[in-house]
Amino acid sequence: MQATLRLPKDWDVVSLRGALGAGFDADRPRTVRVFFLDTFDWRLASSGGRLTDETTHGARSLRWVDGSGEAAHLLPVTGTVRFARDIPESVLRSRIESLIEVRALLPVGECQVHRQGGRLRNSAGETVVLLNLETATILDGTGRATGDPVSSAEVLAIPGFEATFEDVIRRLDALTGCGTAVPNLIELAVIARSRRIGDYSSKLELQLDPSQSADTALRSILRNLLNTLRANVDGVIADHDTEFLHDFRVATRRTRAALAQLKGVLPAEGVDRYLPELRWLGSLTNPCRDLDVYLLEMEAFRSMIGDSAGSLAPLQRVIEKARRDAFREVRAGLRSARFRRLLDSWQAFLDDPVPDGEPPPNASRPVIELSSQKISKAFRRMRRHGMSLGENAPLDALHRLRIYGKKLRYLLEFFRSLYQETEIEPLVEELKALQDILGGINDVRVQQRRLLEFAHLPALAGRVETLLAMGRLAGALQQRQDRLRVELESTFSAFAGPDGRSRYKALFGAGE
Amino acid sequence: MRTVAIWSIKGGVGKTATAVNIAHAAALGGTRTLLWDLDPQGAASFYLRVPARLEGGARILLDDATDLGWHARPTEFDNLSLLPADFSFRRLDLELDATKKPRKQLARRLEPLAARYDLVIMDCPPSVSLVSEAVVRAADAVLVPVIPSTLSMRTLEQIRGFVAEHGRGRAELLPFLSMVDRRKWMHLDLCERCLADPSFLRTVIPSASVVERMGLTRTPVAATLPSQPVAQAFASLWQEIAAKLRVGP
Repeated sequence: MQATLRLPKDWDVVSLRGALGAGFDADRPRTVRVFFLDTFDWRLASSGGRLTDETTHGARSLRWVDGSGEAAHLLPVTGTVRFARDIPESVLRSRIESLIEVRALLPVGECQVHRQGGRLRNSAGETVVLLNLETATILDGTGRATGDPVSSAEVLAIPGFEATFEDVIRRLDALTGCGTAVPNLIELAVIARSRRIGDYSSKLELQLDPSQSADTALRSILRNLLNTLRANVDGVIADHDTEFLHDFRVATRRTRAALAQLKGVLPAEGVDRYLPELRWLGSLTNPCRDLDVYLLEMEAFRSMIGDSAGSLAPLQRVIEKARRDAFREVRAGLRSARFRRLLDSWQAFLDDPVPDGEPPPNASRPVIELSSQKISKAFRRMRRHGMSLGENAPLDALHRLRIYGKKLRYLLEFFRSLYQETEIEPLVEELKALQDILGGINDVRVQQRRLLEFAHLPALAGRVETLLAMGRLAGALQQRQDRLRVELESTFSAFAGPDGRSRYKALFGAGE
Repeated sequence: MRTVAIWSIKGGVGKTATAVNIAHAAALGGTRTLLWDLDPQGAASFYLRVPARLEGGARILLDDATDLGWHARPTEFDNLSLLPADFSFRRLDLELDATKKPRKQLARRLEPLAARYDLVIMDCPPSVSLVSEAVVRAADAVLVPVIPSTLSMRTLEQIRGFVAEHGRGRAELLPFLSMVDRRKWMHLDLCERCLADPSFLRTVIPSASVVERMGLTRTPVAATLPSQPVAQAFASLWQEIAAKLRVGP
């Protein structure tokens, strides 16, 4: 059990002792520099936890409070902590790792705190309540103080002394009159950096209205995607982690898919103008993303072939070098005038609701009509193609199936708010599972191809152990692909079988 | 999560002072530590200003429906919690005996704590009993304070046999020299002989009045007097144990 109370600006230990009795006592205050850490998409905040990087008297620690009311975990650290793997091995690290995965921890807010531990002891000298007394000044992105300092007392109950805990809360409340409405420090610190907790999510969160026109709905989908795309640009350029580029690419692909699949809604000349530009963004970023995936998988590769001797290390260096080169291309592309022009004119196009001349044929149709028709069609296309594939379908054909699946998935995601959540969600989930398998099969194909290319590089010439390890890896990847193929059969049957088919029919109609 | 038992057949060898001080050293290093006070006298609880009372008493320790973590008390130190003793623990032997597979009981009770703690330190009563068997069964390491005296060394041999039998090859025996008075010629001589035994930890804990004063300050030595040699000795003892057990924070 714990509670936080606001303290008046001019509080001091003497006045607290007056209120709580002679058993109260506090340490000398320490000045602590506090950075709030979270991922760009707020994975820690949305778990209810709070991670801070705190420095006092030159000693640095991470402090994790998981939101369950348990005492904080304080872990001394040195050096940069950007990824979970930078945290010393600990329960804290595994907890953070499970929440943030491959995302980077970024400082999302900062404050300077005068902190002192306090406690109330009974006449037997036993600790009956623990307190954490703080006065915090929020700093903005440049380290300047903003707003008034916030003083608070965090009170932690000790099992067996719950009544004393309640009593302390009452006494503090009577003393300060400020109540428990304590401004949330992290929220304030984040606002001081012009952000808001939860202001970004890679998920497409849209609330469409079934009766609105296809034109209005599509524009809001595309605006949403453009916002996602814009939100990630700085992070891609700063290269904080791989997910900025990933989210950027997903937003680009979704935009392309929306334009290509929902024809006749927006003016054709606009669509014709922007599709090639969006394709350019795809090809600009493809190599970098492929190499990112490779590097993210490296650990798994090593364990796949039991490489404890580090035979793959030279390969890793080659990939890292290639990745650096590919990333430079990406960064140059995103800093180019071409990219800036694309964003600006794309935005202007989306904001300009009045097309000149004849409106496109589907523009004013109710969106639900169009979405049902398109989803239905995309499902049938994917199903038909999948059913035509035999047991040993060529990889190209599986790749095509995956592309059809992607298009279907994007449509489901664009329009999910138009349908009953309980009905559409299982379809999305089922398709996601299928796509994971198809994606895995394709990843292996790409990785094997790249492996062959890498093997020819002069940097690896004569590195026999590395080349042999790469050979083992190619074999292991092949096994992975074979396993995925087996899985694919049953998953696809569930998707395309009579059951799956009738669920799509029931929800989206025959789509004729 | 790793589990260290501090145990000796003899009393007054510095068990509880060691338990409290190395628990504090571990916590300072970021290891989430639970000090489990199994001694009905409740000295470890006293040192950390936690009442030596456990609602439900010895029985609750063996109750399958109870998560021991619920009874852990936060202390005044970051990362350090304490599971308090209770006077009823004097009957723990009898309570254990009434359960199925009594020797496995404590190990089972520890399992759910793994999500919350990196380290559990058990401060055990000085005796040879069913409780000791269960403790040794649950421990990754048994830390044994040895005062340099011929009698202590005889005791150590008995302990070695006991741990080998009940630890099932898992529990590592880690004897170390405790309460050493460098002014005593006999201490120095016996220290030398002990340290010739490679199983002894290399850190020697000196006899120090600040440790005796813990009864008054009721706080680990390093919390108030970090530069005292004995505080540093406890820290380095913990470092040695951590390295042996590969306990991370």
